[in-house]
Amino acid sequence: MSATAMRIALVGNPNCGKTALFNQLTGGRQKVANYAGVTVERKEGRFVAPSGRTLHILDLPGAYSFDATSPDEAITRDVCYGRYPGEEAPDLIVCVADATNLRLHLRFVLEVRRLGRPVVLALNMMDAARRRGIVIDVEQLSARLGVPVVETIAVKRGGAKALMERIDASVPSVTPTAIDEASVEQLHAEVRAILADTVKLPRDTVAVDDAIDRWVLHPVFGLAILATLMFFIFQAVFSWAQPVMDGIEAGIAALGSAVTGFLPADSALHSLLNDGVFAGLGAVLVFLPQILILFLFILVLEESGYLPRAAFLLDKMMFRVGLTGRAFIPLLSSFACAIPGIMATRSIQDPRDRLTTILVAPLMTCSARLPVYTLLIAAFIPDHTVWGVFNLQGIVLFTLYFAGIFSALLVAFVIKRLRKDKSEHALIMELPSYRLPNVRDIALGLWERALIFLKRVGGIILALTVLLWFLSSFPGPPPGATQPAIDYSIAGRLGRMLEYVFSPIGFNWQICVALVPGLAAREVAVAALGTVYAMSGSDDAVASQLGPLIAHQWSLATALSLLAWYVFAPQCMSTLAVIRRETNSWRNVAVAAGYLFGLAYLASLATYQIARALS
Amino acid sequence: MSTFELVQGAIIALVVAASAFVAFRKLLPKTSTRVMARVSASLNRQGRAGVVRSLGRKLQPAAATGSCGDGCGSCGSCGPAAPRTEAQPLHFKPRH
Repeated sequence: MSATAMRIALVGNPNCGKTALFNQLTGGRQKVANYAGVTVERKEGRFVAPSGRTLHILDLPGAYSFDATSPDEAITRDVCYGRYPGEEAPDLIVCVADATNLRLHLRFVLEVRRLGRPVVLALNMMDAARRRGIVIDVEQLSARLGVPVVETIAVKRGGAKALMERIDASVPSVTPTAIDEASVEQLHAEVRAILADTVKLPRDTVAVDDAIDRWVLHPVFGLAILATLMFFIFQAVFSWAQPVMDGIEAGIAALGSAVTGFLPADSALHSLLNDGVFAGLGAVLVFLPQILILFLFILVLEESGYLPRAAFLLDKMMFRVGLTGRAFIPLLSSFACAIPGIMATRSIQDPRDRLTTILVAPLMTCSARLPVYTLLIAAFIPDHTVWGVFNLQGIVLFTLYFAGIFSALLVAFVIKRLRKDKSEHALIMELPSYRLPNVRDIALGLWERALIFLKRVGGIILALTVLLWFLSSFPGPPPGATQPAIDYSIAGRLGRMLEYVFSPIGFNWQICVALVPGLAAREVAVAALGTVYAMSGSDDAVASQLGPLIAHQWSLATALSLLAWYVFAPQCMSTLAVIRRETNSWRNVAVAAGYLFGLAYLASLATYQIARALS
Repeated sequence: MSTFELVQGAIIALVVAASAFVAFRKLLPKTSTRVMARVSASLNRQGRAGVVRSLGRKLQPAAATGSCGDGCGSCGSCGPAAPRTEAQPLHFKPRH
């Protein structure tokens, strides 16, 4: 064992605070939340201990047992057993246990101890345990387990100090023994005996949790609360964001005028900055407030411990359509982005259930769709109040999100029928204690979301917008041309060609052009529309007013058709790449892309034709 | 051609080339890494001028980055490529 590069593995049951401890020790900012299954792959970090030693630390997915039942648990087992390819067995295992739930967590501690490797037990959430009146005799527990025990509070600054000092002091010596297989019953009996000697527990559950759960988990009121909550979120996205959006829009317009003011108005450089950069990026950037409001609610719900309750409420319905209750968290993650959602399916044991969840995850409305939805809704749906309380635009946004959920359930049902699956998979899920969200964590989460969005705007979206501007500008119009220059460009010609395919669903050539770069990331389509329309017209005001422009030029049927397209279309190559990686099959990628494009076209066709017939 | 037009042409060419490079790196990470490694090896061959070899070394790609650079960002795991074993591909066995 090297003294300068000791390898430490953080293991424990799901949702015991391993990643929060990892962040405390390494200064990292890995995602944490108050539900099981957030970490599905191994994360590595390093930190310098007070003694000056560099320590490598591994954050492993939560596991209830080494008898792995899902791919994420298998990673933890293989690392601890020293079987993980390219990875030596850890020099020290820090077993993290939730001090409020030792009855469940100690069983895994015993399994880890039987590995015969140096182990330190971190009793996490000690603050919550004290609040609940749980008294733990730490010295006695350490003696009974035969491993050092330290108290930690991973969510508080300095809460891992004792652990760091213990790790830094020395590696506990152990007598190497062969891995001892013990039956589950034996382990449970040992846990009961240890608890009887070392822990005083006033009551098994928290009284407040029980009181809240009586309402939140009620089969009728619970669903009503969930629906109201979702509805309120989408109302807020529209109602709260507008003033900030107006400010950003005005700021971009002023910046555009200032930057391009000194350039000749008919120069290519002026066009690149004005029609490409400011029209394109500006059109996307204004949606930052709406994205942050959506994530504010998601982060609060994640931290509070409500989400597993929602999974419990919806389990029966999900089972009926062929999804396991464990699919809830991956599908919920897909509301942020389908990529972590698809990766989170590693917590699903059954490969067929996992594949079904992977195939329907792209139907969840990811945050990249939000700019497209809100652009079209703001342009075509009147800002009316319905029944004196609700905002009509918010209702439409809620409906679009609901359409995504409903179509995912429908597709899962079809897959269930096709595979003739009669098997049952019970949902066993831990319901964590409710927790008041930490303001600092929420602020950090929002800051990170803002950075991610701005990096996308300044990275791939800017790059594709510039390329689209180039393709929309060259070759230039021939002498004596009467149409706008874009009509003669590569992009213009491509758009006209695609129009043959998309005209039955109401898309004009400008939309067709925007769909192509939009394949890289959905919100690029908004930037592309901004650029294409700025290149098509002579009015500079177009740059900051894409919404009113499309409201004037498109029919309502076209707008509704485009909305329907974005509910289904797999307009994101990264999602398809992750499906390839997680399923190890191009066939599954073809199936996902094929059915999603097919559904998108059919839905848009129906929407467009019906809307035209009714108007 | 005026000086302004010359400078303008050079700036636009640079910006478009840089954008194409960024898009290539983000959308085709594996292919771009392969291509860059090949170009770098070719430039860094013995017998080449010092400047060319230095450029070759600069172009040498670092470890391939994760595939989530463009699509998500919320996975929090973008960075050095995970070992191939990190992903847990699906394996199906026939039912009995």
